[in-house]
Amino acid sequence: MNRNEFMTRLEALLADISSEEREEALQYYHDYFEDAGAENEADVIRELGSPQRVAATIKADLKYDNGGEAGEFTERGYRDERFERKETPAQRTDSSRYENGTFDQDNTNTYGYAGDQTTQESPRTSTGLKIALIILIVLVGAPIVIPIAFGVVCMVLGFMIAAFAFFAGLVIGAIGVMIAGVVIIIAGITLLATAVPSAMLAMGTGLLTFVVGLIGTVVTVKLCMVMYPAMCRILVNICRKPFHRGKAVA
Amino acid sequence: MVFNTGAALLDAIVLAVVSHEAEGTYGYKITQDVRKAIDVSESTLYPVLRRLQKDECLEVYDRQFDGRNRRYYKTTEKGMAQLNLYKVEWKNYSKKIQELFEGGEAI
Repeated sequence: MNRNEFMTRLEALLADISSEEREEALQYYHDYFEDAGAENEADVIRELGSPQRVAATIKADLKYDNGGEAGEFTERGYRDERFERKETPAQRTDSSRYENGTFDQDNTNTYGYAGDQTTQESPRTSTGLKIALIILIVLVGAPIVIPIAFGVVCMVLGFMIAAFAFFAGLVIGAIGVMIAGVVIIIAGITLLATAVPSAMLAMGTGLLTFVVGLIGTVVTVKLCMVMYPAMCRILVNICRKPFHRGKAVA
Repeated sequence: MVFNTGAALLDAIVLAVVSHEAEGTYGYKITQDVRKAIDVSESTLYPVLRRLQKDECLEVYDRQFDGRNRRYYKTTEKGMAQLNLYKVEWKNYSKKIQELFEGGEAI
């Protein structure tokens, strides 16, 4: 990449900042190349790294204009959280660059010191180890966790069925009272020929019982109409929870 | 370089470098001068200069050089005040560290 390509690329990368800021930055690097002289052009380009990195530096500073200190110089150069994430892919592709056997991180997530001391390998948690640990936990935990989980599921289901049966029982009971009322009325009618007062009493009682049963049935049916959907929702929510949590973690 | 350079120290170094030139100085020279003391990459200083300019510690002007405009940076009064503050802070800081290193009465 020569100077012109570098500047063109930088200009394109700065397209999304204000024209004033862009002009300033381009003017600076234009001057910089001019003052460094043609003989140093390659050195400057190499030191600046990529236009992407220069652009990221400029933009990051604009973004956090009033954010105070965002980064600091460390042994490995100017480290800034803001770039590290962005430059992760660059780090991957650049991993062929080794110096003295250690990974030269200066070129990727830092800008600053070229570093005259060898850089330390950053402690990295290997994903392989993590996976092994998870498998180990699963293997050890499975004999305990699976029965417990099964128990919990059964318990929840049991409660649900019990509640379902309870409300259904209420409805059946109310219908039963209603039927009893009808039977008493019929019994009263049969008594009508022999004992009129008893018949009247029986029919009256039967009628009252029937009405109580009817009201009970209506109320309990209504109750079921409210309770069953609510129970279904609770059950669905309980079932969903582990998956939602899983999603959040992933 | 074993020790870290914080953003404030970098500001101070840049202000000091610029303040040495009464007429003002330009990006490439500032970078070369700063690199005499600390090892910074060439892309580090633009944001610093831009920020100092926005904070009104530095002012810029263009001057003809070799048939082109070259941007010059110059410390403002505010910049000088800021630099003096940094100098005092640095003196105290380095003195304390020095005492510690020399096994003086510190701690």
